Amino acid sequence: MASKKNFLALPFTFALLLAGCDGDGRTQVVFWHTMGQTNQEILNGMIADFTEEHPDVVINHASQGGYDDIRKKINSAIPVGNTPTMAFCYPDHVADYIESGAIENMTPYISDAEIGFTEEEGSHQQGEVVKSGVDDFVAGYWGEGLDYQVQGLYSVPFSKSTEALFYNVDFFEQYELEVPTTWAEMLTVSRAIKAIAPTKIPLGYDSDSNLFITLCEQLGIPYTSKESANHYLFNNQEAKDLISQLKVFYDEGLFVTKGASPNNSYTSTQFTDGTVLMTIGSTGGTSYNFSPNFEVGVAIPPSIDAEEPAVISQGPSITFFKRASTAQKRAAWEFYKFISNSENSARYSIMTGYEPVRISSYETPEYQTHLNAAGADVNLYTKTANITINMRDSYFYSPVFVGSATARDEVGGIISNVLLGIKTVEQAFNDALTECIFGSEV
Amino acid sequence: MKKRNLLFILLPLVVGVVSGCDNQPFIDYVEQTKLANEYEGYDFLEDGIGEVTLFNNVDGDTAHFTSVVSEDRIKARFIGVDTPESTGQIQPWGKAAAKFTAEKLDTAKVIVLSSESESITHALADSTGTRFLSYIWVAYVDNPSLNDFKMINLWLVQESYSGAKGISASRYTQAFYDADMQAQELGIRIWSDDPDPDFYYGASTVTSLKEVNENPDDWLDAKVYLEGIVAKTIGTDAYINLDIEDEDTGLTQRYGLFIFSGYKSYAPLLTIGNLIGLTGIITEFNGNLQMTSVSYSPYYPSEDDITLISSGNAIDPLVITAAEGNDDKYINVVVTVNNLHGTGGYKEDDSNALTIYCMDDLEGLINLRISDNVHVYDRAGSGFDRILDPLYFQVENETFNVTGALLKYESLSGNISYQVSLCKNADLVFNS
Repeated sequence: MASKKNFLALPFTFALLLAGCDGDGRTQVVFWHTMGQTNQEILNGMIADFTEEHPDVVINHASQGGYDDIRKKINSAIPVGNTPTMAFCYPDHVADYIESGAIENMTPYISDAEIGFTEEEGSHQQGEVVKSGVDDFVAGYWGEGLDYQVQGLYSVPFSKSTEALFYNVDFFEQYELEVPTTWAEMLTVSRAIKAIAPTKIPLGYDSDSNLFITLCEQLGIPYTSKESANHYLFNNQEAKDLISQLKVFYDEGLFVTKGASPNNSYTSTQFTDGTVLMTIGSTGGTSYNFSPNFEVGVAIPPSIDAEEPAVISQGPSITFFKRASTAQKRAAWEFYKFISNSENSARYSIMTGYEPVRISSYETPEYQTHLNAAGADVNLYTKTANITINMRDSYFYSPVFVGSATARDEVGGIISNVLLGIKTVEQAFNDALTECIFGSEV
Repeated sequence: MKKRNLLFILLPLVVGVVSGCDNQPFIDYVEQTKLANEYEGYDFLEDGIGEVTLFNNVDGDTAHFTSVVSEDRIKARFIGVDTPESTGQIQPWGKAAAKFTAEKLDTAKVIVLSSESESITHALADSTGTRFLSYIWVAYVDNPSLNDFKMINLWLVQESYSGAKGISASRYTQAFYDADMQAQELGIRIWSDDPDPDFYYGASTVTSLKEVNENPDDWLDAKVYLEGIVAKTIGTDAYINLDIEDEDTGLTQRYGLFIFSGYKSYAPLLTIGNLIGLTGIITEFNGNLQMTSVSYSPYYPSEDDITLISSGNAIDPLVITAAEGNDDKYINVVVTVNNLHGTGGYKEDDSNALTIYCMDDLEGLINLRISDNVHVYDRAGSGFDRILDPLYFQVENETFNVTGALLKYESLSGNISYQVSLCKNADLVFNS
């Protein structure tokens, strides 16, 4: 549902909003996002604190549905000039918006004399040097905003997450199983589980796309490239062999994905149902893995080499729109700095399961208390935080270009279509490539 | 109806004023969107389209229907919308959205459900597997043509009872997004800061578990503050209980209430033995009282947040006989009933929830309710296979003890029974 503080207060104020002001001369920032009710409550708390410091600014925010909804609404809003001041985005979305000329390059804001980053917003010590501003952000997250088809800063990190392995501790303890750290160990453990409990599915993977992309990254199999002449690299023999092998494991009953599940149900749901005994899913969705029926453990997802894990960096960033007035964009930047400052980023992370975007957030007393929770204070969020803190240097993200969102969707489709036997491996790859090339040209 | 006509007269004027030079008229996307496929003789569940009759309204985006062809019951979740809550939780504009949908369904002459697929195929369930994702079409004339149908899903978006949500891959995508953008620009109902006239924004009234339980009609839909001890948790929800002495008689009675957190994890609510103060709205769910719309934030507190008064006040469940459990005075109180034996029961058709008919060693009767969220495992096999058959509880000479919240259940036919609702599997102990 929409938040109580909502988009466009009254029709009669709409004309004023175009000028970036509400009726009493305050600067209006319109923020579109995809937050559910829980996260909106946290955002409302941050807004109340922000507007106390900045009484000249009004933040009106509204959830626009899911990630596809917000992308399509913004794509509809761009031609008619109804874009918000700032919005949740995925890099793939931003690539499209940049193509339409709708996105503000935020580079000058970083060191603006009035509204640039300050040390008070967050800093950490690295040896003898105090790191602040851009240098206080987790490099993998900040770098994503710089990695577009044109030079500049076009998105900034906020709700970042990665994937974790959630497992049924009671089952693992009862049968003295080791939590797998490599895919080879995963195969061994999954077959052991199948022998113990033939009706169970050892592993679920919530995102078909992430499974394809992560395995390609870990195995060094080409997926996509930023080179405009050769974006789509996934249609190669190594990738086909990989998917053929996955089909064998699926037919053996060793794993399932969301796309290959009845009703397209999340594997986290199947995990909490007790049907699946391990599931790999977003840390942003940590709460969906909670079960009142068994203890849930959290681990780093398996990789080819346990010493060199590669885990996907995901979760929405924030982008800013050119069409807003200068005052609106400057106010929006101030607001972004506030909600991502050391303290607020730590708090948002503790309450949602997303990762802090600033290194200094990990050092705040609140986050340290969270990490060091003991006894009754230990919960799934604190367990996840203790795992992901060790994954910060292992993040990867895929090249971004117009059409990269299609590639992501299509490789996920390859997995579900092959696992379910709807298409042969050859058919699935050919169809996916065709859709990427011709679908993205439309 | 009068209100709606007024809206349609005013909307173009409003847009005209706002957009100034644009003079963009209000576009009626509902009127423009037509039912494209024949429905007569088809069954929604089998064919993805079909005529239905209304069984009952639930809220703004859910209703139950009966297929005209097969007479199957259909729980329909409306595609592309997510209206504010009006049942478990109460949110601004939730009741208004529910009223809008009910009005459209109650007055329709013909109702048709259609699924996303354009071809004749089975309807698709949502991720719960029990509710079917549907477009709801209504016509207000006898023997309607396809052009006479209007889609309620889109109507809810156009009238600002819901944003367009989860509709990016639909054949109606553009109509939903266009109606959504138009509604946001108009800034009414959910897209405004206007107060919902059906929602109470004022301060809470201080009361007690005793008062609410003894005079429920006085407190339904009221925003109240009361105190209690967390006696049992289930997921992110909890039962609070408190022993309260009657000033006149001097007798102490234990009272209870279910606290629905709205799937949010509020720390003070999750520790058994916490004495807490809660502000929320008293509502009824399946015939039992509950409190909804509670809140808590450790970092961004508000005055209605849950307050922790003290911790370490754990109270033992009341040990009662099955016969004693057939009494309203223990509703929402955590009880233990010992030496039960299963005599029958059933599994729900569309979930894994079980109701077990039980008798204790004094031949008193009570039911054991195991909800879909609580898994009881077969002690044989791997130890992780769920029990889904009431026969499991009917082994000769085997009894079990159960601890849970006492609830009252009224069937569709009006029969009333009392049940102990299991909150976690460890609270069911077999006496082997």
